[in-house]
Amino acid sequence: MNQTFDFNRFLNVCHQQWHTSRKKYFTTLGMVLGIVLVVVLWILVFRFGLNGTYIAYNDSDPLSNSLGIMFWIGLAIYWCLAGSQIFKPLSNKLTAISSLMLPASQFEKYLVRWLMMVPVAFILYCIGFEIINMFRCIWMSITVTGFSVWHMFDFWSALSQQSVWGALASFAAIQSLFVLGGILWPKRPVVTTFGVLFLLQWIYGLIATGILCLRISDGSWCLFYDDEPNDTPYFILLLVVSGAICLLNYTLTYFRYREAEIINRW
Amino acid sequence: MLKINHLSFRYPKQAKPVFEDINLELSPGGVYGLLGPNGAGKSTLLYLICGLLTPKTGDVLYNNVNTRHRLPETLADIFLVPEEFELPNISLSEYIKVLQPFYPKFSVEDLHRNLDMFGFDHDMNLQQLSLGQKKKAYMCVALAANTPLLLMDEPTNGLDIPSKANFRSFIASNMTEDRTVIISTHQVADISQLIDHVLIMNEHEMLLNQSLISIMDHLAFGSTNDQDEIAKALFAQPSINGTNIVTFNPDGIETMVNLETLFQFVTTRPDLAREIFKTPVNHESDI
Repeated sequence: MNQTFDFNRFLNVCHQQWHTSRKKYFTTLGMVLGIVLVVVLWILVFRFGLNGTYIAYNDSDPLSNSLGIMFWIGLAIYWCLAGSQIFKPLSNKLTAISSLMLPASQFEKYLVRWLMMVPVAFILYCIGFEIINMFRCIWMSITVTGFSVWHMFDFWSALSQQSVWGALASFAAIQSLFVLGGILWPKRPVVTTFGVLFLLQWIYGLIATGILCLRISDGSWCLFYDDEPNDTPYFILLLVVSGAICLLNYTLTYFRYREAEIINRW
Repeated sequence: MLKINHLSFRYPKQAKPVFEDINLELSPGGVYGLLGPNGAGKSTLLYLICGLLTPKTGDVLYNNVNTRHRLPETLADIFLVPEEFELPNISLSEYIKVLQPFYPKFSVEDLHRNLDMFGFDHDMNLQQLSLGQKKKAYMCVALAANTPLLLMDEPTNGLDIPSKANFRSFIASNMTEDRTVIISTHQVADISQLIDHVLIMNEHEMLLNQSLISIMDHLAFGSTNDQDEIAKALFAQPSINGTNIVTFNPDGIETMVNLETLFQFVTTRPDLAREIFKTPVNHESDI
C-alpha cells in the first residue's frame, strides 16, 4: 500500500473528517450566511419597507448590485475564516494528538482538509447564497408590488463572466494566505494572518509605487500599454499570478503541516 | 521491534533538556512500566515514540522505520491513550465506524467484551461521559484496535477504585504474545501486579531498564525492624509496617518486587543501581 496516497484510505479519511467535524463546518457557514441573510433583509426593508412598490426597468432585479456586494463580502469573510480553521486541531495538544495519530499519510489528511475548506466550502457557500437569494425573492414577491420572481438576479450566469472568475482567482489567492497563516499560527490564525497581510500590503504597496513611479510616464514598464487596452491579457495575467500564489502557499502549508508536532515551536 | 537510539529532547524556550542520550530496545510481548517523578519526561518519551515530537538528536525506530515520518503503516501499529484527550461529539458506534478502517486488526467483539467489563452501553454518546468514563471507553477502543504497540499515559488517573481494580484484569485479559504495552505512571500500586519489565526515568536519563525477573535475581526486597539488617541494606525506607529494605540477593531467592522501594532506591542511588545491574548474577547457591 502506498504510504503517501492510497485512494481507499483517503476515502476513509474523508469519511472520518465528515463525521467528526461536519457540525463545526456548518456552524461557521451558517453563521456567515445568517449575517448575509440579516443584511439582505435589512436592505429589503430599508428600501421597500414591508409593503413597497417596484417599477421594473428592463426586467432587472433591483437588488442585483447589493447582492453582488454581499456575495463577495460574505465569501471573503467565510473563505478566510474557513481557511484559517483548517488546522485548528493543531492549536491545542489534545486535539492535535488524535489528529496526528490517525493512521493516514499527512498528505491525505492535508488534502481532505484542503478540499473541505477551499472548493467544497466555496460550493456550499454558493448554494447557501442562492437559497438566500430565492428566499428574498419569495419575500419580495409577497411584500413588494410590481416585483416578480422573474426579475430575480441570475446568480449562476453571473459566474460565467470573466471579471467574476478574475475576482474569484484573487480571492482564492488571498484565502491561500489565510490557509498558510492557519498552519503557521494555529492558536490565533485569523488575527495574526490579517495583521501580517496588512503589514505586507503596506510594504509591497510602497515598493510597487516606487517602481511604477520610475517609468510609468512613458509606459515602457507597462507590458500591455495600449491606446485601447485589451482586458484578456490582464485577465490571463491575473489568473496566472493568483494561481501561482495559491500553489506556492498550499505547497508551503503542506510541508509545514508534514512536520507538525503537538507543540508549537513558533 | 522498538529501538530508541541516542534520544535527546528539549522543549522550546527551556534551558534544561527533558532527557539526554537515552537508549532503549523493547522486544515484542510484555507490559513495560515506565516510572518516574513528575516532569521526568515520561509523557514526552511516549510522544516521541509516536512521532508527535521532533527529537533534538537521535531517533526512534519501529520495525526499522523512523516513527517521526508518521507513515500510515507505522501509525496503524501504534495506539496512544494520552493522559488527557478529546473525543468527538458523536456516538460510540459512529466513532468506531470511522476509526475501524484504519486499524486492520480492530475487533468489534473485543470492544463489546471490554465495554461489558466496565458495564458500558455499546452505543453511548461520547460527549455525555464523565472524565473517568471517557478514559475507560477510550481504553476499551484502544485495546480493541489490537495494535502490536499500545502506549498508555497515566491510564489510572481519574479512575474510581473499582475501575482501578478492573484495570489490571482488563489489561491482562487483552494481552497477547505479540502485543507490547508501555504504561507510564507515577502510581506504582496500580500496575505493580501487571508489569513484567521496569523502566525508571529521572534527571534526564533512563536509570533502569530491567525485567522483573532480572530485578528479582539481583535484588531482594523485604520489610524489617532489625537495625543491623537496616544498616547493611543497600537502601532502606521507613513505612507503617516497618522499614522496607533492598539488599543483594546472593542466594537467588525470589522476593516480591516492591516497586515503590525499588523506585526510591534507583532514583536516590542511581550509580549503585547501574553497577548492580551491569554485573551478571552469581548466586552463592550456584557455586
